[in-house]
Amino acid sequence: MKAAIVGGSGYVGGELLRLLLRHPHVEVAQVTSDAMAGKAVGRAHPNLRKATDLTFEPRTALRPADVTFLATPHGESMGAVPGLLETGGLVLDLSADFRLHDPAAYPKYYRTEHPHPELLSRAVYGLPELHRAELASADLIAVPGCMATAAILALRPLVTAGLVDARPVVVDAKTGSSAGGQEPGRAGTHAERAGTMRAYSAVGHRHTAEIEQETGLSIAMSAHAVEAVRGVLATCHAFGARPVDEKELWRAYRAAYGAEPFVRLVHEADGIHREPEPKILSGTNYCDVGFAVDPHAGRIVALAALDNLMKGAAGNAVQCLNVRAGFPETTALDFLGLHPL
Amino acid sequence: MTQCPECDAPVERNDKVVGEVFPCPDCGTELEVFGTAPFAVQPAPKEAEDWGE
Repeated sequence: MKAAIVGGSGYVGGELLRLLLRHPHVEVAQVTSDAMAGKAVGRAHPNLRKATDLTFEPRTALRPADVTFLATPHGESMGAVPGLLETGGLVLDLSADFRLHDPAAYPKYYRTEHPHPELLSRAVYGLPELHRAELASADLIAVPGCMATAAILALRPLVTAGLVDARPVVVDAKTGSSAGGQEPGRAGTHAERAGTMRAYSAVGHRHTAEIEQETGLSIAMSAHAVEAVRGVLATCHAFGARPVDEKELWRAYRAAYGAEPFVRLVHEADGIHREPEPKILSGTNYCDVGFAVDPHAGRIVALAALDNLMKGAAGNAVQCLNVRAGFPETTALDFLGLHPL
Repeated sequence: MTQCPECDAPVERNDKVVGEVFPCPDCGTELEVFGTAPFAVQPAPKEAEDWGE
């Protein structure tokens, strides 16, 4: 299967390359970057030196492929996808442009009208844990946002088991600096970023829309930048429809994820790493999910950790490709991570 | 087979003997075998921690 990556010089593009260059059923035929056109892939991604002879090509030179990954900023895929679909290939969009089913959500959360609302119902939300059957026949896959992936995977078992009531669920998310991409800006300078614990979106974060769409819950989200390069930790505070104990939560989460290759339940009685922690997941496609009961407040705390560039973006996209193409789902995604790191 | 008393995870006896301590495969609780016919486990006694709080 021949693959093209559009926007391949960014961090997500680099991770796509790292994974696909070692995928036994995929040949990366082309990678584009207007900013790096003509330069070797290793100039943007030094970890890939000598792994490939590919050079970046300009976007205008994009050729039809069996599968095209769009690793471009929000707003750029909206116009590109219709033409790509006409070529008959599979499209995986890693931006937010096709994640939301409701066209009215785009002006609210992304400050733009969607130029192709007729395609929103055609796009499959690319979370295999929720949409594996639909992914198997999709031609347009909208890969979820990183914090949204964590929050959705943390909360969905509670919804399925009927363990939360109608009150809003608080999602408190922390993320590392790579989630902001490579574009330079004052917030990314060392002086501003070093030592940070910044609430950069106390209310109104854009991923609220995805989480509400995929859980059916009312979401109250706050997002924080912390001093890490990779990683997302979503701590979700839900209030129970009735008192629950931890055994019931274990049953609910086992029922949801017992057979999932990339979701691990983490809620251990002892040790240092008792709950999900993003640090040990760097470079892996795992999402570690945990939970706890707070009987004092009638609260359920649901946690999820992942690498924002992997299960939160490129790794999950490759997982979706594996599902869509009928490859073993874990192909090219078997890295177990590093410890210590 | 029995279940972990903390999280209900299925726990296999395999060749475990009375008094053996092993971790629950799901929640990590240290379990102690106190019977083999039928197979039965209970949380193993913990060493108390004192952080001077």
